[in-house]
Amino acid sequence: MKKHGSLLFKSLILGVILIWTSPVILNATTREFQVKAAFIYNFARLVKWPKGTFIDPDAPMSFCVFGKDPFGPLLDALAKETIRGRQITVKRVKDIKETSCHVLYISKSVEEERIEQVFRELPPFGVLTIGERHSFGPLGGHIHFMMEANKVRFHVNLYAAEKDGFKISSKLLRIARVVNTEPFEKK
Amino acid sequence: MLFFRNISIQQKLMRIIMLTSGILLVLVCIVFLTYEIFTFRDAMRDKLSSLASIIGINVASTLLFDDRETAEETLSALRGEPHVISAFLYKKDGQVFAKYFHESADKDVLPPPLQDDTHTFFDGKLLLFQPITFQNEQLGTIGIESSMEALDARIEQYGVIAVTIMFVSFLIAFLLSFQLQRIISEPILHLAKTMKKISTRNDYSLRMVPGDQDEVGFLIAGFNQMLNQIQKRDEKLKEHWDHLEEQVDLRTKELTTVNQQMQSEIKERKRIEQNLQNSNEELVTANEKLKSTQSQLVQSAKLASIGELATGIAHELNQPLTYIRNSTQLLLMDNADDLDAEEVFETLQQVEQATDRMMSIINHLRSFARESDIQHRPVQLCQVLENSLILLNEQLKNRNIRLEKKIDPQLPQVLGNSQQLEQVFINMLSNARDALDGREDPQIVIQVKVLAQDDGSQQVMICFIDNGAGIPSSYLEKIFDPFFSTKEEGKGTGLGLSISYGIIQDHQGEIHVSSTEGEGTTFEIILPVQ
Repeated sequence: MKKHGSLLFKSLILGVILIWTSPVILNATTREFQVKAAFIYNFARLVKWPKGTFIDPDAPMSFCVFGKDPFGPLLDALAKETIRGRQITVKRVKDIKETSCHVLYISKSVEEERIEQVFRELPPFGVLTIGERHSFGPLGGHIHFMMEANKVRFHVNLYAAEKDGFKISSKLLRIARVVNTEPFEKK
Repeated sequence: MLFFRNISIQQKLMRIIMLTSGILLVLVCIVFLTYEIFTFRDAMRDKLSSLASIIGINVASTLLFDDRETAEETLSALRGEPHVISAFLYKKDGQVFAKYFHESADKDVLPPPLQDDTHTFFDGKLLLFQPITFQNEQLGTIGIESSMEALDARIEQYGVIAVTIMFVSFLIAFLLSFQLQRIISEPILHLAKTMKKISTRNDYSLRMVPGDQDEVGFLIAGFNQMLNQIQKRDEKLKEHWDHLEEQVDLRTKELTTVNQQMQSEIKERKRIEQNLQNSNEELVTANEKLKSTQSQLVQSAKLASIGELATGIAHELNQPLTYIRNSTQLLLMDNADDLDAEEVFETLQQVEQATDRMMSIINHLRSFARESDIQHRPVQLCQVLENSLILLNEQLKNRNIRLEKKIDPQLPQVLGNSQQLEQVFINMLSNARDALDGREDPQIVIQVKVLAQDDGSQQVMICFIDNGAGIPSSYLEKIFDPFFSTKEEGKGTGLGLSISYGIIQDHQGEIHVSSTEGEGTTFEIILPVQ
């Protein structure tokens, strides 16, 4: 059992500290993104990347944020963690083509058209896409968040993920509120 | 062991078998029941543990994504396990994340505090905790509480079976032991019955039926053999009894004969004893006669020596008598006027002395002649020697015999009779006197010495040594024999030395003689000092 706790645990402690020390900063939004950062980390733990994604076994795993960053320092805290021995790196990207990402978070600020464009620019496999919009799934995104009774929940577009070579653990699927196994109908 | 006392061997055997098998059965049942309980508990724990693992795997992600609804939904799958009363899902910090209660369970019960990987049995329940891990990270813990009612039911079932088995086995054991105990008890009972018969009827001709080749069989065989021996002995005894009377008669007759013989022997002995006593009395009388004869003999010897001494005595008396006559004549011749009173007194004194001397001689002679008693008293030997010289002094002077006395000044007293000893000394001196007759320069030496003995006692030795004619060696042996004399007929009695010998013997002393012909004779008398 790992003594140096998981992100979840650490972020919880961090959250508690923030609640006590800085009520101005720690509003509902901060809390929401705290949970989302932990979720992103857990998604990465429960997803298997297709073979050939990583150059070597020790290669780091990069978490990229596209669009306006809602996390602030919360996501950067993940840089200390590892997933299956891989160090996590956190980047903010403007141009998809220039950087290689393993997890790509597209914030709410990014328009649907722009999202479609980003998807087209992405390499054919090996990038797990996480979004905020309801249309993120139908657009071809893999996982997107939603709120349910003030709790953060998520949808999984299993069809798209499997098509892109990912294997998603049943543990993750059990928690997901909606799992799409069929391709979305084109509008 | 009162339980086994005073009952027949049959019952003892039965009780032993029943008790042994009963205790064994109970023990076996207890062992099996205990084993069953432990096995059941282990099985229950294993089952619950694997259940917890499955649930743990299923709820791991709900902890990851903080999804309580899904967690409780997953826990509700435990409905399929009716023995599970409740289940709790704890977060890492111990907070309860999700719960599950069975329909029948009390839903207000507080969840038990979080524990590590343990299981506890309490209150008929099993509470098991198991950590939930994901990728080597502990996400939380699951606690499951299970009822143990199944175990109780199982024990109850087991008890019923055990009691049934015990009852049946006990019955079988009873029937079997009832049949089998006969193998041992029957020969023993037979033995006991026969024993009783023999002892009541006193009939040793009875025999037992031989048994198996076991200890009881040997016992029976031994018993039969013993009975044989007793019977034989009885017969022999009877035979002996009959024979004994005959033998007693015979022995009695023998004894009577011996008795008679002994009686006659005793009579004979008595008679001999009587004879012996008579002869003893005769002997005593003879002895007495002998004694009186002897004393008469001594007396006559004494008187004889007095007779012999008479001449000497006459000489002794003559000297003072002459002196008295001369003195008185001298006085008578002087004129009365010329008489000097002092001179007269002196003369009279001398006359008195002379008469005193004569009186002492006569007195001594008289006392010597008197028959003496035989009692022994302490005696001063010097005195005795002087006394013996009173009667002989003048004779020795007349014959020009020189007398020399060498007497130890510290002479102890001797126990004895002074008269008898004086008689001996006179005898010695007169013998010496006679031996010196016609010899040149005749002399007698009297030597008295004390001899110390090795044992501390003392002896006195008196020697009379003369330088006379001596005694021929052929006579030396006979010299102490009575009536042996070398003197002329009529001069001696021949008893002097033999009587001296007797007197010294009476004093427990010794007398010896040694002599060389022509040179002299020495008599040596030794007397003990008491």
